[in-house]
Amino acid sequence: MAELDDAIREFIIECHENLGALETDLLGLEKTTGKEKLKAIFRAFHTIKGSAGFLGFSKLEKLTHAAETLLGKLRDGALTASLPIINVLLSVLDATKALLTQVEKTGEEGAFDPGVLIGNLQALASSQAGPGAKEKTPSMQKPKEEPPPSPVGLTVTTSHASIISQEKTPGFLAGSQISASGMGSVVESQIADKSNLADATVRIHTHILDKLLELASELVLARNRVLQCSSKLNEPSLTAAARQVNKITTNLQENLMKTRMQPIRNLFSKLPRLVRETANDLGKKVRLEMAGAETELDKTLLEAVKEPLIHLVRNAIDHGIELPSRREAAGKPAEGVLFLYAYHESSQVNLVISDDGAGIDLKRVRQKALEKSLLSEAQAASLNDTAAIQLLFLPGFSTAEKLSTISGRGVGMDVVKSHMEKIGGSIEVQSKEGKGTTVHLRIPLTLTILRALSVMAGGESLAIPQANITELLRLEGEKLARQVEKVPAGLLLRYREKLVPLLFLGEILSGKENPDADLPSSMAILLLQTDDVQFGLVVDAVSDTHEIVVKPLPRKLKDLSCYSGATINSEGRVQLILDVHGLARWMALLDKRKEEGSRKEISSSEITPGAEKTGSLLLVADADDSRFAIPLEEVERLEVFDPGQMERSGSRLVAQYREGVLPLIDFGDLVGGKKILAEAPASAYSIVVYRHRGELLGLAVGKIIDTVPGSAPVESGMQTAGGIPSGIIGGRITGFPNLGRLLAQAGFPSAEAPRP
Amino acid sequence: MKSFATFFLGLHRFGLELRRIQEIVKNLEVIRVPLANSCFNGLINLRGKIVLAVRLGKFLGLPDTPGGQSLSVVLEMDQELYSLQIDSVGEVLEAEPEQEQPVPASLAESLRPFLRNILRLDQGVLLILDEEKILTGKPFKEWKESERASP
Repeated sequence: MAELDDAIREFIIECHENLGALETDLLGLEKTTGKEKLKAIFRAFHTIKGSAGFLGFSKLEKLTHAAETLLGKLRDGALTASLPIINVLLSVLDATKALLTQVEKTGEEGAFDPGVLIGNLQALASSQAGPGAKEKTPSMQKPKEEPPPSPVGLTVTTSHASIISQEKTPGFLAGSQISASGMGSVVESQIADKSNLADATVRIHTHILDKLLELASELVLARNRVLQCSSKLNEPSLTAAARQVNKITTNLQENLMKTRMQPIRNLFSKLPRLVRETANDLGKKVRLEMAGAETELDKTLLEAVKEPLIHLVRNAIDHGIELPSRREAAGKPAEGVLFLYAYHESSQVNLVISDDGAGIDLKRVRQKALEKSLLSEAQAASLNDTAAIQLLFLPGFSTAEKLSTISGRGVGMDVVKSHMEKIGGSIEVQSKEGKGTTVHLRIPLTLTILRALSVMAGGESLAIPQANITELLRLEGEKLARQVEKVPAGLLLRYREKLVPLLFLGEILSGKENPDADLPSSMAILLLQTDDVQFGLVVDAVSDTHEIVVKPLPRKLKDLSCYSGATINSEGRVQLILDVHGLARWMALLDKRKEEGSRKEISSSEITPGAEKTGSLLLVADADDSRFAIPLEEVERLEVFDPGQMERSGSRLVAQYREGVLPLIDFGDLVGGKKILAEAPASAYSIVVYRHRGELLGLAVGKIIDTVPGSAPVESGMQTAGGIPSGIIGGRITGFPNLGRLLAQAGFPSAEAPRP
Repeated sequence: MKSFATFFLGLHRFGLELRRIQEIVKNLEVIRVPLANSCFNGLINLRGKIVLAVRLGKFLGLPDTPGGQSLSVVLEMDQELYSLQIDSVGEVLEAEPEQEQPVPASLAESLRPFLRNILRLDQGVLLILDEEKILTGKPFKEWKESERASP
């Protein structure tokens, strides 16, 4: 057998897949003329035509083109599927198979002449349509009883094989199903010659694989019980047998998991052509290098990364790699390098896309963000490079000077990011100006198996995906008192210079919150991260991590967004899997309910439309109970000072604070409201310790209310009386003061030069 | 001739067409789903499959029987498995089509939506449940809302 090009090999396998489905569909046309079926047949011929065209198989192309034209008329209703039409189409199918066999053997199409068949197709296509078309048989060069044209030296099989399998497994042969899932359960053996590529593999429906996996996990549970019994009985022969069962079961499960895995090569092989064409279109020179093509990934995930990968590759060539002249001027070789690298690491597949192009122009990114009013000038200036790169992931953000056909077609980095998040993966971009850009995709190995930590809370046992857990903390005694702060609406955890909201899983699950309860003497806290929201989750106990098989929740429970599914643990009990992202959302929902119900001073996170849901906001009130939101990341600490701690220094109030002096600012002054510090009967003042240009300041506020997920609205027409942009949080108008600017206007920092 | 399984919730007897029942299993552990609608007891592991246990009594306006509902009547609906939790099973009855009669208007308003029809038997009347109405009916949603308001 001649050495076949990878592309041709793939083409042949793909054609056989299409043909298998086609035959059933065509035969089905004799009984019913479903529009969907016709569309599927049309598509299958169209696909073969397209691939044959670019691989240079002109006979195949012409033949399938003629068939496609005829099918087009059938599909549009200009013709009805009559017996002669179906017969001719079946002949086309056989001829296509014959041609493919020849290609597979010799790499060429051989001497077969499809002219007669094409003529028949054209004759049928140009025949008159109409209600009586079934009876009208247009003049044909060959009567329908004639066997399909068979070129010399080629064996043409009849459709016998698949008719039989159709009878045996009708469910799996329904054509649309095959083309949709790409999985038929038929061993394709259309051609007598055993060299057929399709013979090396058996196609199995994913349902069967899933069923096998399910059985294997049950076997694991049964094994566990056997192991327990054998250790109790202490019978040597039983113990030995149990051990063997144990080993085989594990082995079986591992191997079954592998059946869903496919090498990433299947994806990589599509790229050389894409890179070549994209580079040619743009007048660039790009060399593609790939490594780790044998890395395996779950089939579904492989499909899911396809789009993002293609987008990133296009991006790298369009925006990353420079024109040859520019590269030479910068002292680089004219030819740019695009490097793709896949590897396994800690039960994740890593996919790195790296180019040696110009890198991301961060100045341009900041400027663009300003133009689009995504940031204030002060924010843009204080933004570090990592944060600036994050701007690329905002919807509708593009630094491209002009839209080209290559990229900038409305599929931005935000879509890539959401694609990745949907499959539980992540994306990270690093860039060095003038040196290039590296995009790192992290993809879970499978969708169905993940590592999770088992926790107990409120008497329930739940699994929490390891991927969401950034850290496990146990706080006790003094440490707990120092790191956990109580605000009227809940608890905040001080963690690495940040304040993060703290939630009690047990309370959430029981639906009973107990804000007045004393702090427990010790706490097990999981630090969880989802999107850009970080929070601490207090649980009663933490046990160990396991690989769990994720099963979907019953549909009736789908609205419980705090669970992502369920699993069956090693004791055979159902265990719910916590959806960390859903929980964050769920909590906002709960807050809303509370406000509606009992009018407590707690609000929800219905931020004004247009707001980006990132980070958390601290809600405060001034003396008139007007609401204001401060980004929690700018807040250093929350304190309560009694008037005795404060003193006057010149024109300003200060407080002794942590071996230093903390300037105090009246929040009412800043936002143009009533003075807070002057309304003096208060025995204590709530102080937000705020970091402004590297200095700590104390903002005296009327009341500290809550923290909510969210961030300042990007654009909003509303303003408070004091001219502060505002939005709605929890049904209340809430101001989003630009504290940096207000403080600067109020003369802070006092005399010092502003820091960079 | 149709076959009907009979079963009990407390002192009340109900029937369900036998061919709709996949199996009846005893003493499966039900794992509670916190925050879920109280129409559901929780989740069951039925040989590796996750089954939603439905608190049948809730639909029929019957109080929970302490220590009861340990039997799972497993049904399939739209490719998902459900279990109606009951206290005990009775005999299987055969009935002629003419014994099946529409649900009388005199029956309690709360009960009627979940009944398919009734069987006139020598010993009296057997209420035949409509499992589709129970598993797909509106009350799921309505109850959910009212439950949320007062947890």
